Amino acid sequence: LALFFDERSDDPGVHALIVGVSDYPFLKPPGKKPHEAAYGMSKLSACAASAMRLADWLVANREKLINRFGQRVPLASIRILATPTAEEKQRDPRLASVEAATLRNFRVATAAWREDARLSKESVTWFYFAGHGVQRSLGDAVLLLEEFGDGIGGVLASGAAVADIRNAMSPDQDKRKKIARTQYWFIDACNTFPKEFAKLQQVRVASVFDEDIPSGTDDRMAPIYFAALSGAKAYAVRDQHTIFNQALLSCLEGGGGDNREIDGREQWCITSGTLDDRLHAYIDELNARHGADQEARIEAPGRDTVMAYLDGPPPVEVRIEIEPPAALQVTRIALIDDYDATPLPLTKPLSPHPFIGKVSAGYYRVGGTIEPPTSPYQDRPLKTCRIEPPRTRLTIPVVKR
Amino acid sequence: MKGTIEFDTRFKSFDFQELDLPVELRRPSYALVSRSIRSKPVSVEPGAYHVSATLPTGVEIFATVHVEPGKSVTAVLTPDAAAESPHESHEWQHFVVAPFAPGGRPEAASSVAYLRSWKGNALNGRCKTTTPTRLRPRYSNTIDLAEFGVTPSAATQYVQLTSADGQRVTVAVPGSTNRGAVVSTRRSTEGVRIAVRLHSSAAALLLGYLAHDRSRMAGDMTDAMDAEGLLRNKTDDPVAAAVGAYSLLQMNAIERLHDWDANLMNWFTWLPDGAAIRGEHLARLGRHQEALDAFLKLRERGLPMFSRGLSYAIERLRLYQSAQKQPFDRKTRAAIDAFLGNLTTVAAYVDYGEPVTTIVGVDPDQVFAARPKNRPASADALSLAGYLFPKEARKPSRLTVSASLLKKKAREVLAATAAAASAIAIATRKDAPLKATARGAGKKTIAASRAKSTAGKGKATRAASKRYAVSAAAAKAAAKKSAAKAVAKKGTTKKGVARKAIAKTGGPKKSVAKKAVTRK
Repeated sequence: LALFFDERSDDPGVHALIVGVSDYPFLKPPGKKPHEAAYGMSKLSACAASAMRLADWLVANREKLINRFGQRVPLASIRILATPTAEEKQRDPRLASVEAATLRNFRVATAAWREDARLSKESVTWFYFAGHGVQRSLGDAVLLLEEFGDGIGGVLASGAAVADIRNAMSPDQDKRKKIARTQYWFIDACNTFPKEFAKLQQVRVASVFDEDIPSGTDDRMAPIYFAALSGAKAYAVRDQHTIFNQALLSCLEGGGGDNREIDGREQWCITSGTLDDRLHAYIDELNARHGADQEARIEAPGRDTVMAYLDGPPPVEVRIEIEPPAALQVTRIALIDDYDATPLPLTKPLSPHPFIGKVSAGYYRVGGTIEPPTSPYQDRPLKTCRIEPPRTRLTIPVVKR
Repeated sequence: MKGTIEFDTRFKSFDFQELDLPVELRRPSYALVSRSIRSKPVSVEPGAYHVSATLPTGVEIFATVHVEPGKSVTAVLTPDAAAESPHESHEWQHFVVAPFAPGGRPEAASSVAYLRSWKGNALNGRCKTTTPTRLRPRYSNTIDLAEFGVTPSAATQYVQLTSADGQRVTVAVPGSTNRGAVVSTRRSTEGVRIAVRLHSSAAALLLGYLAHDRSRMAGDMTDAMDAEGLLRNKTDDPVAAAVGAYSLLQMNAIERLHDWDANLMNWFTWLPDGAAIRGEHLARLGRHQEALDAFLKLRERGLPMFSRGLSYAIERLRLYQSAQKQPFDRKTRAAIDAFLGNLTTVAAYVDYGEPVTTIVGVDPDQVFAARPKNRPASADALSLAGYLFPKEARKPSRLTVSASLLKKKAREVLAATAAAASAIAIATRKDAPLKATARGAGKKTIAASRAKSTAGKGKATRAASKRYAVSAAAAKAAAKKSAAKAVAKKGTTKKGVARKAIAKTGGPKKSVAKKAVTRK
């Protein structure tokens, strides 16, 4: 299979396998009654585009990726499998030329991906799947590939189990002694257990590898980010991207940023821990905007590890409000940063009110003075506040509670 | 010369005050300096620092300190007035389970909700209800919170919350031979919810972070606190040791498990999680035959009390079952197949979203039934009326009547009055209070109202609601239905019940025996 990005060398590198299945050919479009073998599932509209979006981010940040040992590791390869809808292909013609997310292609791509990954412990792998999925246990899910619902074989004959793939990517004394010890897994699929799948646990899934039981110690750092809680669904904004993908990209583009001391220098970066923290925050925000109720979760988090460097602190939307609004005319608001500078043009009276602006993430001091002194209002002395992505709301009360 | 930052917290309750919360230290530039826990001071360069802690429910507490060379300063972390718990007694719920809305009072939900306790091995369906006296009322404000202590036991115990319409949620109670646990029931606008709190505060807090998917904080806590200490002190509290071991496995810090989990498995044979933890540890070390032996011990020991243990067992056994090159003999493979079948059948009813094993929609003894017949809650349950609901809805306190006690009484009655008939009464419903019935009948008669409406109709489906609130609306509807039925039968008043009971006295013995059989 052709690689979407290929700069492989003998050195450690980042190897990504990215899969997005939107146009399940054997499922009906949403709104139409699904056929029996579909177990209530219908075609999706945003998974292939979501997969491509993550690939684009990796390419754009190919020099900023880090392994668990703190070493910078360049992007070496990206394999994409996608089954896009016609609309997705229209919006991004590149999707028309990538390989389809069939079981066969998935097997081929996964095997090749593992071959690349097993050359160096210092390498890093990224795995992303967007599509339909079914939960089997806390750390396992069945990823449903393009053929799902074709009625051939068992219910999950075209499904690949995350646990099987992770197992095949684990260190093995004989075969995979040097496999990448930094592995990031993103499962952007529902984590439900359909009622109809009461016997699912005993249903066989597709075998991706001819696998033996691995020997040796599993010393990977391999967190799995699930798009949904156990028993819950994952959502997408129709014809755009999945909620999880939007939140993930917002984090990777800076929203998941944290300031760490690395080799005696302060460096803004994304870490596996802050990614977990902020994914929740971004998903909450997207839920509120789109009326969804999705919640992500992480399994096997391991230690908080730097994933990628950022150029600087992420900009954060901040909303400043005076409480009560009746005090607006007599209140002067101050927002002061670490260098005693005022990053926002805050006027008296504050205009507009509430004031919305963008500042860099970090600590600030915020307060309000009443000019001229007016009863019943009182000054609000400067108080430290933390401004963090995705957005922060600062309410300055100038009446004694 | 460096200075030192010590940490202190200001909460309303002593229990919470002493908790080793994970704390974070940052420079004014936002650079992370260190992560620690409340009891562990940090040595830093002189300067200004911001200290913060995030509680499991997401409440954040801050402090700013200036450190001078060679001196020590204490960062006192206090919740803002807006984020405070409404009462000292509510602090654990507010900061660890789910925050209380400021000034919010729960709507007048129906009082038809019950607690039952179970004991046994859900992996072979051999579970029995036990006497509710194992649930000792510990705190109740009859408004929104009631807590019950669970008597320690060297067996897996469960507490079940049921509603009048048959919804049921069964939660493992991780208590040990010398440490019990606390079950809390809470009324909110969503209905009634149940949560279990471990005896060890550190383990309970760790579990709180995991329940709220705050893995980073759980990881920080595992890193900074002595998670190994929890494990090392397993003789004192093996359940806390299991939580410590699970968090080390989550962090993949397997070297920190040493071999202590072997003792956890071998010394506490009543604790299923010891076998699950040891099995997963050995599997990660590549010692698969020993790992399999450990996992297979669950057959006798039962369902792990923490869902992660069940998940580990299923994932590993699936791997062993499906391996192309089988290291196991045919007999062992057959054992794997059979046991995996059991585990996965149970898993179909387990909510993995809860760190403590939670069975949804079916009684623990009905998991393997083709058509589960869930027992009605009224037989052996503790009504939450009087504990969780206001005075006007309060029921007589003698609602905690166990099935076995009632059966015993019935046998006594039958023996003493061979010619007399009795109907066995269960009084957990509003319309059939036992005390009133007995008094009304005036004899050894026990009333005959088996609350039909409380019987689950065997719907073995998973609850739609994530957090297991027995929905207020459903409870209301059920209460309405039950009230209507009661009115129709004219058996709602004490007088009415008494009349009914008297009318039945003297009936044929045969009918009593028949009833007793049907009841089973």
